[in-house]
Amino acid sequence: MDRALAHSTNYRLVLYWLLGLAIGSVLLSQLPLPHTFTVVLIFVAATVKAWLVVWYFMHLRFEHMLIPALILTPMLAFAILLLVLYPDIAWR
Amino acid sequence: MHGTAQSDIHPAPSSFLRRCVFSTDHKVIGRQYLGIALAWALLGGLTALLIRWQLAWPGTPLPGSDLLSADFWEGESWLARSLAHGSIESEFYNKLFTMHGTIMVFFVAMPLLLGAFGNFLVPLMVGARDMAFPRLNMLSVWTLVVASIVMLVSIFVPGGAASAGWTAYPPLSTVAQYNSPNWGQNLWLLAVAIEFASFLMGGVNLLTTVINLRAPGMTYFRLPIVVWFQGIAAILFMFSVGPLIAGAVMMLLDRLVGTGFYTPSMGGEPLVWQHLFWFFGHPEVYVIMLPGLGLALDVFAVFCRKPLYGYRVIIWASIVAGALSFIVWAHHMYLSGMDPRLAMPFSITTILISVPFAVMMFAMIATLWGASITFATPMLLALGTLLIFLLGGLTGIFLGSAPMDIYLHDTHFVVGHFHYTLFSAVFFGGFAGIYYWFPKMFGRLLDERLGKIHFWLTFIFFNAVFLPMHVVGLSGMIRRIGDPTLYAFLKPWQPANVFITVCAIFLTVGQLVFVVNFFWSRMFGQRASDNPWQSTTLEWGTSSPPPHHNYDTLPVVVRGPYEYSVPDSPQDYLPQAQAVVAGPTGRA
Amino acid sequence: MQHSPVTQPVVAPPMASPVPSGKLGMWWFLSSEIVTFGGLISCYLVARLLHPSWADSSQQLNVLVATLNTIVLLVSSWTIVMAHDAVEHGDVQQAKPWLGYTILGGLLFLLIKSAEWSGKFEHGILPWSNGFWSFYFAMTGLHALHVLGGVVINVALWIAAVRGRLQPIAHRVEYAGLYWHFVDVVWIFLFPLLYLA
Repeated sequence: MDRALAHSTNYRLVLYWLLGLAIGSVLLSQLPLPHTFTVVLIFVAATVKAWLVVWYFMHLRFEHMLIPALILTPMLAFAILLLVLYPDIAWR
Repeated sequence: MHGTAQSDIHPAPSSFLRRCVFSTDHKVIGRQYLGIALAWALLGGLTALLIRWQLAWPGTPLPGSDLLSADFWEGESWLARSLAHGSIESEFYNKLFTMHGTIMVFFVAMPLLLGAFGNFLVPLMVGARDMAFPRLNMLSVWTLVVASIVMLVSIFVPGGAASAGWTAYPPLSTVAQYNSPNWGQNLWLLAVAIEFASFLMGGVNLLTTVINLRAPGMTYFRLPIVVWFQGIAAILFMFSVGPLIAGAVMMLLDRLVGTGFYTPSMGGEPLVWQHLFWFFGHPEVYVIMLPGLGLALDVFAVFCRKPLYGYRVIIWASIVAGALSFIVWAHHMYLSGMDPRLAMPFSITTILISVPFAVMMFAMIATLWGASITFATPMLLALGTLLIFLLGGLTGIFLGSAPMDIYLHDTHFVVGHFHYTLFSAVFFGGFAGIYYWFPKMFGRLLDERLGKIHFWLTFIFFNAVFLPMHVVGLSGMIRRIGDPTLYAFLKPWQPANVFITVCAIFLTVGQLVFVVNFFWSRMFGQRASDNPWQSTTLEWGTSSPPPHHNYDTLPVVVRGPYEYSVPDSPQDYLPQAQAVVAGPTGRA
Repeated sequence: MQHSPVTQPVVAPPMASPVPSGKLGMWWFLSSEIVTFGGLISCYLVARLLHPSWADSSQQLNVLVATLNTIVLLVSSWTIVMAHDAVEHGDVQQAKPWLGYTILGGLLFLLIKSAEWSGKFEHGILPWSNGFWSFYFAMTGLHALHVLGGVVINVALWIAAVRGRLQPIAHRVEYAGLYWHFVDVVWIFLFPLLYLA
């Protein structure tokens, strides 16, 4: 299978980044910083971690366009639900 | 791996158990789904009759009640505890409309349209030997059997069946003091959750099959509309059911563990359920609608001897409708107490969604235009689908507009609307499919005369039942009330309710014609050739019924699905996988 | 009996997508799971915004233990991709220890989670204590059920490897890996959502 030759992902390096971001998020949350700033950074970190797992571990970088479409469409549905729930529930 | 295994023909299993009960053959599984759907339809129809009895003659004991002794009615049997001396009381009425909706949507419509026709037709129509995951397919149908058993059990447990409506809004559905069925409601939730799992598995199977198992030459735009609509419906289901599963988990926890997801005093919010339910509920109606319409569309092409007008436009319209279906759901919630500012955007999107469906209707009409129509039973039923859906869609436009819906919400106008739209897909579309594909499924033809009688009885009495409902609804008769005569302003409309009930009884009797036809034709019907309808799609290129492996040699597709009356062709129709004809003497 | 098949040579390319059926099926399943967890998470998000006081309950969570759990799950995600890598390079036997580590990781996660839960119960914190706890137990519970499911799948593959019968179904290591990574990604979001925000 030529994929074995094509990808030379250093999985261990990805793991180190994942662990680093995780521990970094925890440390950041313990610091006396403005709450919103911390939360935003933590979620950015979480998104990066998720992207690392999906792109490298789940091999999205090698997959046909169909697979990203399968991920993005339900995320759009999730965003729509959130967008409508928010004004109806959170603004009361 | 990409379908190369398809070229091997595995021998059919020999034991009865592996052939007919625990089969991985999509054709057997499709017939099993058909059996499950039709069996549940009997119970769903019974609940409808009981509802109509109560609405026409509130408090009157059911016929035959006096045959049972007074002692019986004082007793502890399930029947005695459900009915008060044979008459339907309000608690039982609540169970009736709850179970009617639940059964019809989850145990009739979906098993019939997606389970039976999706499973039976899709592998044949794409030119494959079976679904992508045959064993998963077997698991799906048996999961539905488990769900069915749980739902049946829920009817007979102490406290009886669920009674919070098929929509199960909290707090009625979560607070014990408001809602007497305890285990009935819990098992209802469990049964519906198991049913969702069954169809999720089915959806995975169907979509992988359509994407990966198409025969050589079968490009996406050579697929019959049936396959397209099944695929889009599966996608809608897959992407919409998740939030409701989450919501059902929360409701089960509220009921069983005492959490407060939907309890305001514990920081919860009942409206969240409505959002989650309808986020699924609206795409769900298109999950039911599209396969039914798809069946009717294929039948149209065959009996008009014309290609479907606007094949690609129909496909694009259904994709647009599917996408829009995710942003219309709050039109079920205009009166729920949600943020009123949401009413306008959802009115706009709801009215917009009528456009793609109108496009499909025009395409169907254009197909009829100038066509050489054969009015066989499948075609009559397909025409019925068109007409009934048209009426249902028109009333939907009124309901989609928030100002009108403020008046019409929860009246029988809504009941009329959704019966027109759902009946058109499930019964007219579904029956069109049954009459048309019966020879392929069972090797015999359904009797044409009985079929026409069945159609006319259904068509006439369906309209007689549901058209007046719009009028009584407009006059203020609300839904889910067991005794309309309790309201003085509704008393003048009671004759209408009686009329509707009498017609409903005739409508039910009309279905007996089909039941007789079905069983008689299974045994004594005229044997069907490979292609009794002279149709072009792949499934008609193999025997009726097909062998276990579907095709002796996998077809190679050379043309689109609706090559009827092709100009300058010596043949009336060109099957999809047939060789290109080489001149006046060329024969199939 | 069918009509005579195509008699003249027709150029008909294979129609399947480049994605093998098993993998495609798994991705379709995962896409439905995205909306399932997404639904639960959206409900939590809006409820949390409505109830800022839930931050007090969140303070009672043990961030250290959860961080340990996060590390365990991330490492197990790595071990299963190493199992897949072994299969890709033709060394199916090597997949066995990597699968083993992944299973251990999953079991350790569940163990730590149960310890966390029992700790809460002992302190009188129950799912019905307040809205935050309802969501906490529901979300981590649903996630834990998915972890358990993943462990079962991985065990099935590991047993096949132990019996020397992994080769014919070796491609399924990748599909099991996809599921496992998904469960990991859900936790990647649940952890900050519940413990850090």
